[in-house]
Amino acid sequence: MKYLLLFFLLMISLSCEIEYDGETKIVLKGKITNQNNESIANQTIKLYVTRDATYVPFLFYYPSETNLIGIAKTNNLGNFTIVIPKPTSNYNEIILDINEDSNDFNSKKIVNIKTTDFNSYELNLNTTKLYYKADLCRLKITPNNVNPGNELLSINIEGEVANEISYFNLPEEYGYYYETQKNVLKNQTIQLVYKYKNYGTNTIISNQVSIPIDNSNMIEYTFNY
Amino acid sequence: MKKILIFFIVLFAQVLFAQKNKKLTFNPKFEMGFQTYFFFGDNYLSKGHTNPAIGAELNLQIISFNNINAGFGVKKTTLKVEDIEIGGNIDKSNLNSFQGFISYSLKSKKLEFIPQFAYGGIENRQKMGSKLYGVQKGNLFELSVSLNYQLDKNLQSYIRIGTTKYVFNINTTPEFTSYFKNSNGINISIGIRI
Repeated sequence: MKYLLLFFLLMISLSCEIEYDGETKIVLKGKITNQNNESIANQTIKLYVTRDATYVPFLFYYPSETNLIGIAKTNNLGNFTIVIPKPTSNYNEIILDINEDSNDFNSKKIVNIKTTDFNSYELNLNTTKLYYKADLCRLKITPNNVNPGNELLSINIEGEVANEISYFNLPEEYGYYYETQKNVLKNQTIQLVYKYKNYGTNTIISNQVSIPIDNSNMIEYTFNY
Repeated sequence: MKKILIFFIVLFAQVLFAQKNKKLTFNPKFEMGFQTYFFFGDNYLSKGHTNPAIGAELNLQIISFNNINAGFGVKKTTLKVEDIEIGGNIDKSNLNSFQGFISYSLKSKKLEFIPQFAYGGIENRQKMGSKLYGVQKGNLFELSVSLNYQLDKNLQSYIRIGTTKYVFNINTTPEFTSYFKNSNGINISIGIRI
């Protein structure tokens, strides 16, 4: 009984909310352009710090938390600077929301940023490109397993790709299926690079194919491995 | 806080031993009043917040030696954050300070003129609603002069004007270090003294 009471007191006293260090300010910089490399001015950039829900089944539950801690607008050169107090504990990731899906450009988020990615309190994301939605084509890639002895390891799409979500650090559960649906710029040739492992020969094989993208709004492509 | 207390004990002891044949007296005086801060310069309190800021202060003079007095006080001021790009999407900054002071009284009939030096600790607690976005601590140095008017035997009104230098603890890029580290303010207080 005594230990149970102690356990509950410990649970109550645990602080689960995101905590910040007011004496440490971290700086995030970047530049926003369109597909023609022209600066986008007056673009609202939002920075969130988030935490997943915490729970112990039947005993303890603490809801998730999202703090909109940084807001900035790009200047005439497309540059932005956000300064925030450093999140110190109980946070999962920092998310930079560069564009919401409410204007002519594609939505864009850079996720899974950690405070350890800041070098001397600063992280420069350099240039992020936004594409006009009207100029984008939905590319759906379907891997087709024709040899049960092969396992698909990764897919990489090279070219003018409008990644709605870019992972600054890849998540633990990251797999090739994260790359099977992308918005890409129309009228270009995309390079698809995929790797698979053949368990018969115990070798990793890398293939590259060119996918021509025309003026269509959607293209489906299937490759065999 | 311990350093601040030691500083004032040493300073007051210096004054005591420098003047012989005078008597140290327990001379409590309590002040309470409102204050207005005008922060200036290229720094976060000045450029990142709405100015002026309004707050309250409580001071307690404890002892006197000849015309020299010593005591301590607390101040609380709330500022509205304006620049959310540099500093974060935060609603308000609460400045809380605790300082010790040494003053010198020059009395003439109903008027009393009191130059004062104060040194203490300050903290900036940044909040959005009830959510705390960190505490930034530092030190302050204040020089001020008060003009008191004797209303009756035990009651005075006062107006005080002073200038304060703040030095906060900060870890950030060289570009923003001075912006978050230093601040200056001119403060005007009015209140009563018992």
